[in-house]
Amino acid sequence: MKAVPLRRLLPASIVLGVAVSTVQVLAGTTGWPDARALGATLDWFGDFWPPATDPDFLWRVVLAAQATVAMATLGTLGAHLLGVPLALLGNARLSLSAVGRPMGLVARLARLLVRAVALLLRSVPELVWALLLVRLTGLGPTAGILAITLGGAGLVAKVHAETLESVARAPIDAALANGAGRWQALVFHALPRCRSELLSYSTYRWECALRTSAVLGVVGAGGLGQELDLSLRFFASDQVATLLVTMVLLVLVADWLGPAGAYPRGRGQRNKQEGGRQPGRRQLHGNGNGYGHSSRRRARPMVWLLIGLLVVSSEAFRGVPSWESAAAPLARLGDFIGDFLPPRIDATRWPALWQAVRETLAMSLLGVVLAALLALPLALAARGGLRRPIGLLSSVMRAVPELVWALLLIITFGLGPLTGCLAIAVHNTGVLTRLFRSSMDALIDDGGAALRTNGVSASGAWLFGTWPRIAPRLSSHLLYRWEHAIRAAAVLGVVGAGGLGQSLHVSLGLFRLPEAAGTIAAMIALVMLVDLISFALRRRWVD
Amino acid sequence: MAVRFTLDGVGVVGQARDRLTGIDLVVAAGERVALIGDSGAGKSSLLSVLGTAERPSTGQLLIDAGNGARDPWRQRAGALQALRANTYRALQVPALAPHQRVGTAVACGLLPTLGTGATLGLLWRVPRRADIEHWLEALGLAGRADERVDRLSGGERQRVSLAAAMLSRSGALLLDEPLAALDPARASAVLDRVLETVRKDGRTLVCALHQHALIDARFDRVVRLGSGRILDDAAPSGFLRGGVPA
Repeated sequence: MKAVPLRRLLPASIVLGVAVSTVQVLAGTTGWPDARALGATLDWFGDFWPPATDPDFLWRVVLAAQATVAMATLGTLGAHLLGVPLALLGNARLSLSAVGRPMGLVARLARLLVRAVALLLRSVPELVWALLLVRLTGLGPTAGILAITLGGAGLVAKVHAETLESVARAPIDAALANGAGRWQALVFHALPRCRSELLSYSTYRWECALRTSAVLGVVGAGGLGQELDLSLRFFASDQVATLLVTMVLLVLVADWLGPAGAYPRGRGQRNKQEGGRQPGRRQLHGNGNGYGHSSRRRARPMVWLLIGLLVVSSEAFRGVPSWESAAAPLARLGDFIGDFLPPRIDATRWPALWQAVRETLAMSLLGVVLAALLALPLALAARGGLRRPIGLLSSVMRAVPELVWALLLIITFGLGPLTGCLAIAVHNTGVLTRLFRSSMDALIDDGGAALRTNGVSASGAWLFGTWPRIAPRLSSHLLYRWEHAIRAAAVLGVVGAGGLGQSLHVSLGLFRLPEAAGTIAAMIALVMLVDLISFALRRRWVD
Repeated sequence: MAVRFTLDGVGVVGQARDRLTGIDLVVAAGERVALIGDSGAGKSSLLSVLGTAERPSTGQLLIDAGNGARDPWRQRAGALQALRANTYRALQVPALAPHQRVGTAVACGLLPTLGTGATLGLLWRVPRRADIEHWLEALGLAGRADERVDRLSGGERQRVSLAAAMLSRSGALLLDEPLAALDPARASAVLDRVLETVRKDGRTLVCALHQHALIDARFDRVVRLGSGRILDDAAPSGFLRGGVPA
């Protein structure tokens, strides 16, 4: 048999995967929206206008928004308190034993362990952390803060470690070989070379945390999400409208405040080859030597911003009577964890779990592919003169998180994976439109001009001149969004949109805690699998 | 169909100084012209004018692709595109997409003559593998059609761009220093192949080069440029070996 080269096999298997996903998603749907569902949708969205503006409600919204900002800020702070030490311990650049020889076995194992902890922390979606922690700390923002802390720490540990490792090796090794200590090497040699990148990722983390904390309330962790859940339960369309507008505004303000413009960078340092060339919104990464002049200029306002955010955040905790009562749940931590162990799933539940795993995978894959198919023409149209309207559209699409889209779409499309898939598609269309457009903007020589002067048609020049140049960047963004989408798909079931989240919700509701632990293990495995596939594809398509 | 160029007082205005001034030149159909001159003499500018990549600031360019002499800049878009497809210009610094396969990059030379269906087909399958392999071998890149372009060295990339030009079916070939990235022994062999192919197919060739030692009777004319003007225009026999004008 003649061996078929991988690059022939790959597109075919991707098409197959998308086709299977489509079947899977459609098979799991309860039914297509009929006239009644459409009528209900029209009624529901018709009542959006005018949004609720009675003072009592508005005051509740303000408090909820404050709690949301507080959760994001304190959670990000916590993520750094936990994540930065992990990053310092886990990166290989500051190893004393590795100077001039292979790293020692003990040092290697220790680093592996630290990295495994970080991997575990970031493989559990934040909403799942919140879902679990709410049972420990009770309803309210404490669970949200801890959830953002734990999930964020895993990401901070990974990205900051990778950033430190992206710094040139020679000067740090030289310092260590000259007898400098680890801290000296870190402060005087490593940090000055990557400070602006670390800072920009940290601010990006806060932006992400804000988006997350806006939805954590859906599982009872306080903030805008909790109000939204409440209003949805009472079918108060006008209140939902007000809350949505608040959420969008909040995220847009964060988007605007975050000086990193880290959006186009995709996932941390992996896109090293783009990092330098691709201008962020505020061009913080531009200077290749790593001495962040622009960040130095911006450092002072950012410190004030941080202080302001902390003041706002502390205000949000007037309600908490005392630190003792807030710390009390920690005493129960041991029992709490013990209840979940060991993870166990009845043999009769295996088929359902397997079904949920396939549904989750299908939702994420189809959702992201749909998003890419929509985002590409939108990005092209945005470059073709419709910049403002499409910019606004994509801002709103990405300002509303997947989970909220799912809550809205469920009214029309009912329970099941179709809703989840569409929610992922809508949110990611917004994100990808933005990412695709900035990648296209960053392309200076598109190679198409040379082809056109040789008589190639405009479409031919685009296909063979422009497209091959932007395709690696676009696929980098696509993979990054898929890694994000699998985490979203894993939790969308919590609101009834299919997949593993639904199983988890049911298990927790019935107090089958070992079963819930088993479902979470499946989630972790699935997230890691997608990360692995994405990593392999990235090496083929992007590097 | 071989292409005839007629330039009448062509000038190109540059930023600091004029890049071309008062060029009067006729390149007959099927003629093989070597273009020499120091760096900055205007060789690339002249080739980009001939390749209708740049509109002359002054004077007039007429291209006759067998159906009457026409000013390309007074044609409709479709007719201009057809003329451009007939004057293939290979850039000195090739604009290749990093992730493309070598075979695809070479096959891009065929693009001007491909319809929509065949263009889309090129995304999936590289056509005319034998021809591509032939030119890759001639240029010392045998068996590397499936490698990615960004895995090649700078010189190898330039040879890929030359292979694409040789694969094209245009009536005129405009080559900008095609031998710059080749070692002397190979440069001579490659030039042989290029000239032989051009002669066999009856195509017009305008070729800028620095290797004066390689210019011999296989060329019909040698045009020497300096500061954007034509300094000499003579048969190769008018040049001593070594490139010093007689």
